[in-house]
Amino acid sequence: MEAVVLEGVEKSFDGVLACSQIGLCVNKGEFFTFLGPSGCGKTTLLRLIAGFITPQSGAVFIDGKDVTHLPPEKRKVGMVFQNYSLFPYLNVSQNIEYGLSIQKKNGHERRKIVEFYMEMVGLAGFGERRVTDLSGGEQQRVALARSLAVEPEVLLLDEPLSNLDASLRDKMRAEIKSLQKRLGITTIFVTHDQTEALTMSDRIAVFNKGRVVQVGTPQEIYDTPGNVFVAGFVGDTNLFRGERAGAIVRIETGMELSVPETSGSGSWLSIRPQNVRLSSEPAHEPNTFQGRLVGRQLNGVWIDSIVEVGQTVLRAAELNTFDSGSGLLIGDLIWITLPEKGFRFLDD
Amino acid sequence: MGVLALLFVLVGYILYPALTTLFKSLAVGAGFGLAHYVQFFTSPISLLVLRNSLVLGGLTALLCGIVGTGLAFLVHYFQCRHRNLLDKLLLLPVMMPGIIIVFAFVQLYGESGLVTKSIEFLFGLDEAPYSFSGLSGILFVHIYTQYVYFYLTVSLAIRQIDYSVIESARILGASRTKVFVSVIFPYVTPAIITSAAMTFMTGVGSFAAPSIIGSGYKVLTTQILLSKANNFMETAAVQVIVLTFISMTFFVLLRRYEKRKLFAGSVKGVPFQPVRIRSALMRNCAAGLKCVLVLLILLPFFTIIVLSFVDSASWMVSIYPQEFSMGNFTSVFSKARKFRPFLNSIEMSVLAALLCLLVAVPASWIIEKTRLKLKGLIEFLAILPWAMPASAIAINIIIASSHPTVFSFNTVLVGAYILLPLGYFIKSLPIVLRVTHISFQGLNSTLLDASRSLGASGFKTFQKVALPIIYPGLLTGFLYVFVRSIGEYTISAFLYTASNKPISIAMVNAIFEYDIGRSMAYGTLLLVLTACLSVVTGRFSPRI
Repeated sequence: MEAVVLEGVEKSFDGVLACSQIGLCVNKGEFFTFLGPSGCGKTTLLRLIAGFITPQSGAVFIDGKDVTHLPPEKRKVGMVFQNYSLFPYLNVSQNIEYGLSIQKKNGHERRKIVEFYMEMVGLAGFGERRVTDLSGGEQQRVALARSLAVEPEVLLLDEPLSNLDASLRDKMRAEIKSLQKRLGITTIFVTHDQTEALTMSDRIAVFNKGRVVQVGTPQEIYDTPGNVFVAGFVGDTNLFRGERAGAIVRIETGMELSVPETSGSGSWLSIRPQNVRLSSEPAHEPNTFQGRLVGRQLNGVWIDSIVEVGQTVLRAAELNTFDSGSGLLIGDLIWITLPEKGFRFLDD
Repeated sequence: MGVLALLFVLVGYILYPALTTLFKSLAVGAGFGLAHYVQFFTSPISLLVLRNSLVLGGLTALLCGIVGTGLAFLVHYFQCRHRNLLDKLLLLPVMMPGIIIVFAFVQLYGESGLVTKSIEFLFGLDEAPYSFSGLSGILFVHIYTQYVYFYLTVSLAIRQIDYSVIESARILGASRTKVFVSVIFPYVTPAIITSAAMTFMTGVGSFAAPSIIGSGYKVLTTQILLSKANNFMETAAVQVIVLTFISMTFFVLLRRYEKRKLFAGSVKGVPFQPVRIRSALMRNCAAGLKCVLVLLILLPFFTIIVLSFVDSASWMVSIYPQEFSMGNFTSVFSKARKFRPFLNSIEMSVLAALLCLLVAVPASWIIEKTRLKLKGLIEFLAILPWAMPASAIAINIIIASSHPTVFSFNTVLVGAYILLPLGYFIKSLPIVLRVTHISFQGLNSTLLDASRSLGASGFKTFQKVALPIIYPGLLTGFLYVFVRSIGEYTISAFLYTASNKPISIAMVNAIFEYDIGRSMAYGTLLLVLTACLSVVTGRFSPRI
């Protein structure tokens, strides 16, 4: 059952196309993410769903009902804004109560709901605090409680984690996800952060230049990117333009690789860094080359390396375990292996 | 040592004069008592005057609130064409000294004013359809000169509304009306309350309008001048203390409210987007209203300039002036007696501005950049004049200067030249302190540390690092005091002497001699000077 359906939605500002012919379905109870670089149209689309802007063509359905021309207050959606947008002159419980008072719920009922959601977001006992005295993370929880309290059909989250510091962001990521699961509320999440998208979502729509370029589960998006843009935007990758000739692909920098003939089509070859193997000894496998280690950097869990093979520069990533990378130094001649299973051929 | 000198000035010329007035009001024979207060609060006339002052203050706040807030919404809340132009025009009335506005209004709306006569002529009336003198006239002038408080603060509040908060309310189910009541209104309320307190204070302390067009409507400030003229200094002292008490109460309430009510989001908001007026009829009404407003605002300026070219003698019988010449200007510039007040005002304003900087710069340095224990006291003394109406400042000076003290270097200063610039200085000190204070906030203390670490002395650091950064603020402060002082009327009316006549007094005298043209020529000179300086100030000013 679909909670939100977009049909051929198109919106431009001053002649510049922000959303172009977008068709999407978000299922009930799903955590759905709009992922893309800034200016790709994802926030515009979210605001179209919220009702702050109307599309030039196409239609928006929420819960089976055409809401394209309904104002935001009639759409039954909740939204958490990037800057939380709390009412600065109201305290925590008054903020959460705001939507309930518009729904004309009685005082007793309102207090019960407010308490319930304050408890749920971990702010029990904060009711009388001024929102301006709260930390960023706490303000975020108030904003979340405020939009959940009115029990919307759909919850819209507009980059809600972007104003938090790194450690708090990880924590809130887990909290929002678990809250969403518990309540089973349909959620649309906008972000430019691939980690957030991969870790939180049931499905992801990747946006580029006002278009949806791929929709899929996090695993699908990462493992089988639909085109060069998705491969480059979601996760790191080595990208080469190449020419196929039977079981051989010759890439633009001159390197020749053997490939299985059934490994897909497309003029670009993508190899994820973790699929590049390094060794101080020659391996007896196809696609093994000698190269020079020109860069090596520890990133905690990973060790990133840069290797030059003739004109070709490749990035490799290996797990930082107790026995990894022993003895490899910058400037060393080393062996590099590119297993065929790690190849992905893509279109523009 | 420097701190002591600063305290000497602040105590000697602000606190001590205020205290002498207090003692004067309590002096009964050789001792102290409340006799003068009893007399004041049992006299029906005094009580009427007190009530009149309070009513004037209240109505000023109410009417300015309606006009100023309405204008702020018209220009900044709704979509508005020519917003920048309109915004600048609406700020014009603050540039003009109050006394000039009063005279311009008399020439326009007074009994024989141009607008009044035109209406009589158009509708064939025998007498004016309204009365410009008394309370209604004063209020009319007050609205024109003081709506700006509301307009400025409310406009700023509207522009600071976080647009995403409005969207939050919408998505939580609020209708447009509900958004207005529950979001817009709370955002602008602090601005409205602050401005109401300010306009109430200026309304209660207003002197120029009540003294010239008040006719039967007596208020405290005019009574103070009367008491002073009759040399009932104890009575004047009581009136001043009552007036200061009212102002001070509002001032304290205002400071408390400002501290409690200020709020700011932790994360930067989304800029406010003006709302479109949906009905075409309402849009046209708004456009029409704006045209009328522009006309009303500009009319006094045109009147002053046009009338300054009119020979007063030639304009006695007809409604509109017929003959124009440069006569008034040549008369001002060629006769030393007539030119002297203009030059005199420039001199005294420069002096007042220099005094302000001399005190405000070290004071804000101490307040902002040191941990001196006395800095609370210094700040309190320097902003104290905020809460003193100009007439109170004048009376304080008169009473304090009548005896030789250490602050007057053991001389009696009554009638001395220095008293007028001293009055201007006291009146403007708080606002200059505010400007210099903002400049010092912009001065990063790590810069000063860097200079010291490179071996510069404290003085060298101030001269080479601090001064270049705060210089624009100092210039703004200087020009601001100059502009405020050059057309100042209230303090001038209390403290001028025949040998020390400022331009505002010369204007009033010219009017009483039926030489309207010369009076308006003085006005035009002031306008030109103020306009030139405002342009210069605008070039350099940091935002206040």
